[in-house]
Amino acid sequence: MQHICKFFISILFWLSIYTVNAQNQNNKDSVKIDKINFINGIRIELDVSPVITTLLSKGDTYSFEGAVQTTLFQKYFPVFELGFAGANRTSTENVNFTTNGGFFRVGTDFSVMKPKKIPGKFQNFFLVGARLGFSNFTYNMTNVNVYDEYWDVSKTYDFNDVAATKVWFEIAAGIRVEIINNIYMGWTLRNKRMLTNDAEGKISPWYIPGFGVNATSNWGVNYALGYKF
Amino acid sequence: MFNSGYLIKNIFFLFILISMQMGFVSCTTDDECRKEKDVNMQFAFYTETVHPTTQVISKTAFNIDSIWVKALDKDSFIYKNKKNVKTIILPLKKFENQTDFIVQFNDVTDTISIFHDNNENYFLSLECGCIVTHTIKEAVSTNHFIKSIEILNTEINTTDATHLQIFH
Repeated sequence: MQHICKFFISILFWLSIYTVNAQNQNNKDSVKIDKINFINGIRIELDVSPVITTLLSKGDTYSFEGAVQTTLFQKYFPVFELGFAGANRTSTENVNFTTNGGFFRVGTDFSVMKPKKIPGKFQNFFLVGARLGFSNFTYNMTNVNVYDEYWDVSKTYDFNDVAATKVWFEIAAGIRVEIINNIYMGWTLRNKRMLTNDAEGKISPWYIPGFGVNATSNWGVNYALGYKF
Repeated sequence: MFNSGYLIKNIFFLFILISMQMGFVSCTTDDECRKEKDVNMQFAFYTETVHPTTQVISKTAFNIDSIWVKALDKDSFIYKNKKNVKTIILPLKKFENQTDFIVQFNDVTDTISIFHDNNENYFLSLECGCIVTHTIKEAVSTNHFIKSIEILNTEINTTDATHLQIFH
């Protein structure tokens, strides 16, 4: 957690220095038309991967999300991702788990390749970045059966509306390719690391909206269709 | 005005991603419970010997020639004429705070009563569900064969450990 805080603080720090430098340069030679715009368009994206992932999970889980990403100085790509996800799964011992809830992630990407915007040519990005993900949701775990074999007695537990807040860190890499004017396509691959762990023996959710199946780390894939304004 | 080369590359990549996603799904969705679920109390048998010259008391583990164990309120035996026994493992009642056992050592019978707290619904996972762990409060017995009982470890969970020492 501490490292992540440091990471984000340093991003903010370098960003502020960059802003000051850019302003100074503008003051010095005001005759020059500023080559680097502060904000270079806003891209709105929709994740189309659920079409496939929902099928692959056999309907156990679903996750829909969209993103807003902007470009600062053609180099930094702050991003806000918002989504809704859920799960409904029954274990082999008939324990049923259901959840649904919203999630969001904030972070920034960096362009690995130096972007060149040549008029009449399409723009492509290779992005690497980090995100901090949040989800506040409730879940149900029902029909949890405990059987005392020797004495032949059993009890069944139902846990309803258990509230949970989860925070995780992501490292993301992806590409965005301009297919037609202002229409982008691309993918993002991410490695997620859970920061809020459950105490041993305490009830914990099987699925976390925005994170996926509960584990110390998880992978995620998005396939984005975007439009740049 | 159409970036067809990138489009083809991108669609090709989509298929790679789908196959990767399939890999993730098969890795993460584990249907079977692969965690230890058995919670048992373990007894070990000892004798105390006093050294004739130094008077130092030493504990020595020993084996019981044959043993029968059942719960006081049940007819079925957990151990029935088991030979050469070094340790025995017994379940405790998951929903009651007292468990009584009748133990027959060779031809001498003793009753052991265990008083315990139960930690109900200790959660493992969706696949494994919950287990009940115990904390031993007190262990008493009749003294026909058993000289004394010593609690070594009060926490009973899925870890393999000796909880009680029975002295003869």
